Amino acid sequence: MSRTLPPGCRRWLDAIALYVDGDLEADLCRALEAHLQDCPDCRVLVDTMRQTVYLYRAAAREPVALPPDLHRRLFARLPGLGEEGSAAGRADAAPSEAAP
Amino acid sequence: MSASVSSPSQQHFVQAVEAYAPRLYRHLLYLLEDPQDAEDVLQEAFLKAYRSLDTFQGRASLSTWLYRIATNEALMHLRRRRSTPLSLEALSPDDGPPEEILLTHWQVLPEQALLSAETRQVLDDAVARLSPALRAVFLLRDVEGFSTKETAEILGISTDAVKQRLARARLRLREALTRYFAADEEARP
Repeated sequence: MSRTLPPGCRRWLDAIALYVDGDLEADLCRALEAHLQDCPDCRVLVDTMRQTVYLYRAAAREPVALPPDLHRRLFARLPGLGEEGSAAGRADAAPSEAAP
Repeated sequence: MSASVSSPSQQHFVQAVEAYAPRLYRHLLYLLEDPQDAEDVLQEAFLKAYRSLDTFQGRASLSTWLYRIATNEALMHLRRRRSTPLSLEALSPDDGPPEEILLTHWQVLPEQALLSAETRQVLDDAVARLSPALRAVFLLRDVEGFSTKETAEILGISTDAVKQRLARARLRLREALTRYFAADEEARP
């Protein structure tokens, strides 16, 4: 039978979700870390939250396949770029390396 | 570069399309859950960006600018598609933390999880069950890698709202993955 988080720890939920990548205000971060020292349940939550975020970030690094001919169809709609489709067709097969 | 590209701004635009189209397409696919809708909205977004090239200033925020246009187009598309109003301004009661937080510990290496089609489906389904308000924030922060400030700028909401929605989204996704991976662990001899 799986255990669930005790009601008294629910007030830490939002803080734990933001704690895993350091997006938490300093005061709240210190308070949470003090709580984590004495709370094995919340430590499980931190660990599995961290893994959740890590898994999605790893999935995001996988190549993205564009529909065939998407660039050609797109450039055909852009005034002055209609012929670009043939040159850009190569990019349909190549995933982007760019970072935001 | 093709001879049809007649100006530096057009040349930059072609480069931007080639650089950002795959990631924008993935972003729209997650948001809209339909490949044809994602392509239609991607085309509309690039068309709108192309027509607004003279209003864009500074390459530093090119990705933020493109994602803002594409995300707004997607949300407009979702509003048209839904029978009930879609609000990004306020969270619904359904966007609160999960009622029960399972404490089963699980551990899985990304290379194991991402090789399995079933696991990929679990990851995608969990995102699809988020409301558009939570999903948009999660995708921009955790999948596309934008900062809290950039995400707020793209969505036109405060940084506090971004943090609250990101927390709620992550809690719901963790719960979905815990239910899946914990069942797996409990089934082991």
